Amino acid sequence: MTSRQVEILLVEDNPDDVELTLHTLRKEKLANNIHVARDGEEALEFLFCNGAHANRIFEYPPKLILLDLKLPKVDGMEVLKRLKGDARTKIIPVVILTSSKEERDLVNGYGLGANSYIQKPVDFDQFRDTIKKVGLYWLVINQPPATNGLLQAASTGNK
Amino acid sequence: MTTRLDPRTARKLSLFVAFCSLFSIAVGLVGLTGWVFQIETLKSVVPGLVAMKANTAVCFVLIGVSLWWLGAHDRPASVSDWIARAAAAMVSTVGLLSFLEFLGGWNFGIDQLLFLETAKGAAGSVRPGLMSPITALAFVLLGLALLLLDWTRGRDASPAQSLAFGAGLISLFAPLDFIVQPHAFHTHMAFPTVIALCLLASGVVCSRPERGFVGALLSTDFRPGIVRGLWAAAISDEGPAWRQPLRYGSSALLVFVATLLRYIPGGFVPARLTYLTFYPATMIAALLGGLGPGILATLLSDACVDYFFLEPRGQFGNKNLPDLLGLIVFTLIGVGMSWLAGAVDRTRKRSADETRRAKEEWERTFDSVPEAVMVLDTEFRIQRANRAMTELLALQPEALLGKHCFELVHNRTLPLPDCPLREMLRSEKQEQRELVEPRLNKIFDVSATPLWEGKTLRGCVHVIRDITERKRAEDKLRASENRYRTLAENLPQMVFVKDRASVNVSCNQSFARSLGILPEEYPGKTDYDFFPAELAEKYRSDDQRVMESGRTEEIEEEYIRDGKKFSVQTVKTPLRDAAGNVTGILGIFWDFTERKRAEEEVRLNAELEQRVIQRTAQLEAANRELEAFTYSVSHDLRAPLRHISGFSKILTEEYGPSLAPDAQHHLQRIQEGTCRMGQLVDDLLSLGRVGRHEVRLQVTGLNSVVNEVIAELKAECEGRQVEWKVDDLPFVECDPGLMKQVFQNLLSNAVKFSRPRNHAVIEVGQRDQDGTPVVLVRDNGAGFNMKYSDKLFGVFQRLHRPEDFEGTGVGLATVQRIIQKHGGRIWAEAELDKGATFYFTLGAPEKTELKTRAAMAGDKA
Repeated sequence: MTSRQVEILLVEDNPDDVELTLHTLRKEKLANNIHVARDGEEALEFLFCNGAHANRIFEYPPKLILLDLKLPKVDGMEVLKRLKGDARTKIIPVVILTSSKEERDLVNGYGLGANSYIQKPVDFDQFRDTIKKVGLYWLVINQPPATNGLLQAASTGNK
Repeated sequence: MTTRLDPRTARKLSLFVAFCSLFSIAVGLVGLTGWVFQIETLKSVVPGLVAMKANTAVCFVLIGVSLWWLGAHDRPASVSDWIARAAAAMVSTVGLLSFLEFLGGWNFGIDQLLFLETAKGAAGSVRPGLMSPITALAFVLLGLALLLLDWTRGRDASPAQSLAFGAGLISLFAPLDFIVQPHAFHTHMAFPTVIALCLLASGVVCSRPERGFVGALLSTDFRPGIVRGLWAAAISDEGPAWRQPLRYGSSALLVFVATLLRYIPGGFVPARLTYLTFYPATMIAALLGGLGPGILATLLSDACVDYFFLEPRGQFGNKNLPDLLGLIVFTLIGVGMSWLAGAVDRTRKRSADETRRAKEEWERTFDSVPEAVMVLDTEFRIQRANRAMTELLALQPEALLGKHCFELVHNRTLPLPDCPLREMLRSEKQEQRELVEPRLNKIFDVSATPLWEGKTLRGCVHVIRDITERKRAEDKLRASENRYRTLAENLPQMVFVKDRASVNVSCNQSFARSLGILPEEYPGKTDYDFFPAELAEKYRSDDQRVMESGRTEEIEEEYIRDGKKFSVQTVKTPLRDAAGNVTGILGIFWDFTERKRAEEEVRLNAELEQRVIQRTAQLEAANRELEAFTYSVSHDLRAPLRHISGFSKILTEEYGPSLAPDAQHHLQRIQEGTCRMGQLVDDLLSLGRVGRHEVRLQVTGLNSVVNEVIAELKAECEGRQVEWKVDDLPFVECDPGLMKQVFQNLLSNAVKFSRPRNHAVIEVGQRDQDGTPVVLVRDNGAGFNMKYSDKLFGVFQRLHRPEDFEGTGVGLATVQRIIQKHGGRIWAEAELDKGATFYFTLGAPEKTELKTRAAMAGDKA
């Protein structure tokens, strides 16, 4: 990857969903630098800069993670748990974007520190609208802490 | 047998014996002196009479010494005793040899051994130097007597005393001879010889005065009359061993007396009446002594007659024929009389024996019976009492005799009022009573049997049996019997006894009541009288098996009464007699129908519980699968829908204007199809959620729920005329969220299906049905045909076409499930084009307990 900061990490196994999501995000010009992880393991490697992403620089975490729950190898809940369990990454906003509207998943997701929970609407118009709103909110409206502060917090948390 | 003697008498006798022995020695020494110095006077003492032979003199010295040593005292055997006995034996031998010489006319060479006797000097002798046969015989007897003095079994002096007595008697024939015919020389005995022999015989007889028949004679018992005692002893059948010698001695004495009497009359008795005095003597001897003494008397008489009274006198035998015949006749008669007397004596003795034995037996019996026996006279005085009686009263037998029985036994001055003796005196028959004697603390069985003397009542035999033990044992037994009878009678269990052939013997109240009879009606009947034949047969074969095996059995069986069947538990035990033989059967049984039912119920419940747990676990597993299914449905089924929707939209938006109108329409259809499909999936998921949703009850006012829903439906009713009629609805226990879903479905349906009506009327009300509140929702919409009402609540079941009324066919299924989860019921009434009414009740909510348990089971699984 380039040294350019990845703005959105999309964790999604289904290629159709990936395509529809990317289509919407691009159309709305919300993010230029999107990284897609096709399973939980890849997502974790990308985030913690190991495995296939060992050459990545940890100092540039994504601004937003769109996380599906039903994933091969390591499922979404596990990714969320590891993410939010590590001081360096727990500050990254995570939006669960899933087909499931199960109460159980909602409870577990928020319990593990998810910042939002969104069911993917079947209707494409609604889907598109939802993605647009999410992107707008987390990348534009929401004010994240400075990267330095983030790192500071991460290193302090590490100690 | 030893008699204690008066010491003075004993001393006198001892002195007498010493005197006799010394006298004998003196006579012998004088005789020997005469022989040594040939002094005739010393030899014969009385001039002209027969001289004492030298052997006789030696014998006198020897026997005198012997008696001196042996006679005076009882001393332990010593050497001098043996010398004395040797002397006695020598005397006996000399006497025997001399007697044999006389009898057989032999010469053993002993006569002239010491001194030669001339024929002249031997005048009156049988032969020169040969002693008189009587002297010889006397010496034989005396010598033997001295030998036997301490030498017999049990130191019995009787034989020795008898022998000496015989010797004395024989010696007495010599003085007889002197008295009757002083110069006849029949006996050929010298005068001092006679005296010395008589004294020696007396001395030997008296030498053991404490023993033998002398002892008996001198004992205190015989003191009053020695002679009477002697005879009594002689003829008695009891008594000491010396009785027989005494009898024989008496015979000899009688013959001696007869001989004497025959002499005394002198010429008075005619010669031909030779046996005049001997017949009575023999007869008396036979009568008194029996066979043996009689024969002895006969033979002695024969000898005396032969020697003294038949010619030639002074010797045995050598008689003429008539005398010999007379002698034989006398002998025969004497023997015959003796035999007769003996026979009589034996008979008498036998009868006396029998009497004595009977008396003894009776006395032994009397004393050995365990019952106390008294013989009483008519004045209640005790005449006789047995040992049991004396032991009962703890008194000496003498203390009882002559006393009044009531004084001794009852300690009263008068007989008891119910004394059987008294009764017997009145009735003169045997009487019997049971008496309680408080003084002795005993119960007696008393009988009185009359004793008669001719026709006079003499007294009675009073038998007293101690029956205290038996009575108490009986009482105890009766009490025990009573106790067990009461127990059996009052047992709530049914008890019966049957005999070896299974015939009824007895039963208790409980059983009799069950059979509907009195207990007295039970005996003699069998089970066949009360039960169906098959059952009775089973009972009987059980009985027989138990009685044959001898083992108690516990049987679960059937019991039928009044057509009703009971399960009973029966215990059958064999009954045995004292010898251990089975005589019948005892049975106890009780109804355990209820218990059995309860047990069965418990078992079934447990089974049911188990099954419920299993089912619940299965259900839980199925639920979990369903959950997994719906989870994946909500994920995986929705995703493709979204993709179809998304891509078709992109297609429409980005390439729509360039597409043919038909293609645009098709794209539109795709859009709508995916939309409906999404709705369907959502509804299905909702239905599944309801199924898994746990009902959380709280009291809820239904009006508020209904109003909330109506408010939400307002948007849908936009532009329509809808009249809402909502009654006062009850407060119920329900899950408010689920209840809201119910009304959402029912009311939105009502709105939907009343769409064709210009004026739609939707009612929500309640009414009472059998005490249960029923909630109803009514509309005046399209309604439906009641013949499809069974499909109404099925999932995906629809009664209208989608183009008329949209819908997924899941709503009512969801409603029904919610109502069922509340324990209620939902049904509908409708008419096509007239409207429909839905009714539901909210009954007892589902028990949560089982659910919890099932959930636990599921967790474990």
